[in-house]
Amino acid sequence: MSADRTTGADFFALSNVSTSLEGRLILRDVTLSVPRGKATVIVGGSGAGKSVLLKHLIGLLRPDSGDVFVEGQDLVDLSERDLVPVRRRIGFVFQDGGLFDSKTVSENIAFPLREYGERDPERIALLVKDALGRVELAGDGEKLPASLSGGMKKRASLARAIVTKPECILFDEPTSGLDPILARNIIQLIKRLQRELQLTTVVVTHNLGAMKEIADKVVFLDSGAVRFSGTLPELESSADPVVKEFLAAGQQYNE
Amino acid sequence: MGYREKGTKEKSQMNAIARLGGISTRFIAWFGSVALLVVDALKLIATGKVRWREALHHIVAIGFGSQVVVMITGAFTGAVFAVQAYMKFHEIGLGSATGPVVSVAMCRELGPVLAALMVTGRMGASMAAELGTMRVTDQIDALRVMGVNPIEYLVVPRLLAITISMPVLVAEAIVLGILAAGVLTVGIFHMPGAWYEGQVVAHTGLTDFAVGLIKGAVFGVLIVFICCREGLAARHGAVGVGIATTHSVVHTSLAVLVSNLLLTMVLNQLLPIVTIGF
Repeated sequence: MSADRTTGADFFALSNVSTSLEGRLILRDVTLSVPRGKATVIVGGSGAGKSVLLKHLIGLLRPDSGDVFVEGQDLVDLSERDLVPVRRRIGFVFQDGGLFDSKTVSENIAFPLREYGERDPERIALLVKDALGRVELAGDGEKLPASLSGGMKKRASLARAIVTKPECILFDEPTSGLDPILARNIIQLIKRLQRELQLTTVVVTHNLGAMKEIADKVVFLDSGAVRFSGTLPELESSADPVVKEFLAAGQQYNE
Repeated sequence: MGYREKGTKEKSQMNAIARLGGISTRFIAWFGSVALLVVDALKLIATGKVRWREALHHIVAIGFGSQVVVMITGAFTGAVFAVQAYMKFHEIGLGSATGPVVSVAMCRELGPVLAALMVTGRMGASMAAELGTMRVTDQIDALRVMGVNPIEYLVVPRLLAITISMPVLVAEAIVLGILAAGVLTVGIFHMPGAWYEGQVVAHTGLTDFAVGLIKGAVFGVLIVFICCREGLAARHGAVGVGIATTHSVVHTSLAVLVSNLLLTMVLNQLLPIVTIGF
């Protein structure tokens, strides 16, 4: 697998990325690519480095060595200011939402629009309403994040991510902490949005049900290293004992 | 046995040196992180990247919100100081010096220092807790994802707000302190009101007042940078936010007290105390 730079079909590429945090090696020589317009799911056990890897894709974390490319542009040496245009093409849904506590749901969703230069209040209101409708939170715009359930927070965060019409959305554990019905709703929402908006999607999860529903491509991380990269059928027929054990444990506990 | 004692002593000395080294390294790293924050914030201000709407919001929170507590602190400090000063001065026939001593002390030291300590406890802790919570709940990363510089959005408006608010708060503490001292001195110790007022006016210069306001502004800047630094560096959930909040109050209070000595030495040269003669 070669991912020195993104090819025409790839949105992201990581090349030999290694990262340590607080003295611990989290990512080990990771090389992978994320195809444009497809859903790539990154799976692995707790502490495998999935969320850390996701944060590299948008420059929130920088590797100790290696390169991170977004459509051929290396992010590693870009300043925070130079990263802004890249980040504006990408949405991010945080594990716990990352919503601003002091703002209502509508204000949270309007925030990136204002930051991106939209000044017309009527247009902002229209776009916010549209985003709220897409995530089925039409009547909840005036609520504060503290009064939302876990699933509503994730949906509000998703609305904030899609309101600026990004080319790609990154999801960090979109189903964690949700009951099965809410988790299914979020998965269906991700699939629907990806289909409607033709987004490149990267989903970090340890939920195998979500993986099977969403994935066009699967990357399996084990102790910070890529253990497997390929399609879902290839993953399911893998002879790798670590991959097999992970899939078997997931099926056994319906995860 | 002798060798063993000698070895233990050397080991203990080495441990002490290692601990001292560790403390020094941590202090230098902490100081460096505050300095970097200062540089980033000043760069943003110099390039005009100021969110005045946010700054106004913080002026209300810091300035108006802290008025009552700072005024009460100023009034009671002035009153207590007047009681103690009058008792001693009266013994040696210098009761009339109470007003000038209280007013100069309130202007140059007690007003700015106590206002700064109260604002640290009230707003500094709140800043550290708010920014710390934003840090551990991904809200600061969310800002960065949306292309917003967290220092521009969170630190610079607070810096401007406190630099504007602190001199006003210090002025209020000073005025209330001198007034409360006057009420006690005149009301309880029966000093003629006109005499108290005359002594205060004659022996308190504008320079004394200016020293208080300058110190207030400097302390405000310290409060914002130290408390914001602690909040932005918070990690590991609620426990980390608690630690950041505690550190912000302790570090800022110490910084206010230490910098007050340096400021006193410098400002006494630049803006000397009016010579008092009774």
